[in-house]
Amino acid sequence: MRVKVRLIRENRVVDIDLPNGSRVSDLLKKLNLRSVSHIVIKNGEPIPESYQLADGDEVEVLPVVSGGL
Amino acid sequence: MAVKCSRCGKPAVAEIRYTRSRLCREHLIEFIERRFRKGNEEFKVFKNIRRIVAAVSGGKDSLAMLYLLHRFSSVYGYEIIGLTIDLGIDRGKEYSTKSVEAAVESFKKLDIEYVVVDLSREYGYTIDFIRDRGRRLGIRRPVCSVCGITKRYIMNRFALELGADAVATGHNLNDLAQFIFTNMYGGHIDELIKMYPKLPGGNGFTAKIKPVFMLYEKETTLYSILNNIRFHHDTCPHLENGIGGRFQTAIREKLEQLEEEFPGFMLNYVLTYMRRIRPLMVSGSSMGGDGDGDSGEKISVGRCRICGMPSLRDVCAFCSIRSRVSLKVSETISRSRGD
Repeated sequence: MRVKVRLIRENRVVDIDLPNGSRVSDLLKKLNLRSVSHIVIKNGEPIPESYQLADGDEVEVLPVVSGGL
Repeated sequence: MAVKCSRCGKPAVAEIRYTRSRLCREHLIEFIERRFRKGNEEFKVFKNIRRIVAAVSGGKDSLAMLYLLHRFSSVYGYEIIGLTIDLGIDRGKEYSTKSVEAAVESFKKLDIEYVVVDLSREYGYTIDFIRDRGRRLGIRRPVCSVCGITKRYIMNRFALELGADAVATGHNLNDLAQFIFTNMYGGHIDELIKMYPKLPGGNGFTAKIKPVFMLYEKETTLYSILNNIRFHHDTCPHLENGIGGRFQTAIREKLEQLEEEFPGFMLNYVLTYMRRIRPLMVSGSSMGGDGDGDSGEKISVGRCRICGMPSLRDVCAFCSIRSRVSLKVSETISRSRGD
């Protein structure tokens, strides 16, 4: 199956191929990202690591690290 | 396929691995707010605090802190004044402009009185200017160090002027785990002791509090998203090798790796330090504290002869930076006059 991923920080969209039944945690692994430092969002709402993705899903990935006051 | 909330069966928005739970929007907000209260109550963070200056950068940590402080202000009986600083960081990203806009939007939304300090207008320099010209002006510190000195000075000075009992910053659990690890490695005992949710004031210093110290970075981000808080998620354009350089980035990554492998690692690490190790260190240090952060700071400091703020040297680090900048400005004026 194929999932469309918008990487928010990099402001670019990539298509990721995953085995059927893959979860958000599998997607993060494929992107080489840690779940403790990234949030996956679908339709404006965060989704947990165990959420099962489906072919054609469109998600956004937000890294949580930043720097400020 | 949606995952169900462990408490109510509604669709879960996040998995909290260290509690082995999956929570829906409402229960996650409730969970984060309960942890905020639990942590601040355990370490008596709001004891004797009636007025807080909330230092807000416009990022998710300080904005989540602002909303949480606001949400529980009547419970703990303090008032909040917002403070944000326009540091003059642009680099084609309008970094400071966007950060200040996000902070001000939330101050207005929550109807919180606030102050915007424009570094350029108020003190005659910007962080971009220091990055570009600092070395030539004889400022040897890295730009991030100048930025830190600047922010700490302004936060303290405005908090004193506004009659606040404490300055609140948005340091989260990941920040504290990293600072504790780094200072432990370097043996910087006085810095290590500062890694605590509340540091006492006195001697020209306002007390400092870190109300979101018990929340993971991911939790402050989730709280901001779920509360529709518009935050600025860009990183500072001056961060070339991550926050604090390559070594700090490596430590942060290793800690995240441990957290991924052993959920709750950072929480246990920070709480073990605060509950069991720090109390043993405090008695032997120059900085006192009776455990609830209410005793006066015991370091004796002099005063800066320029600004009158506390300083270990004749001229404080902030005035030293300013004097180098204004020296350059006056040289330029002299040259243009032909003096």
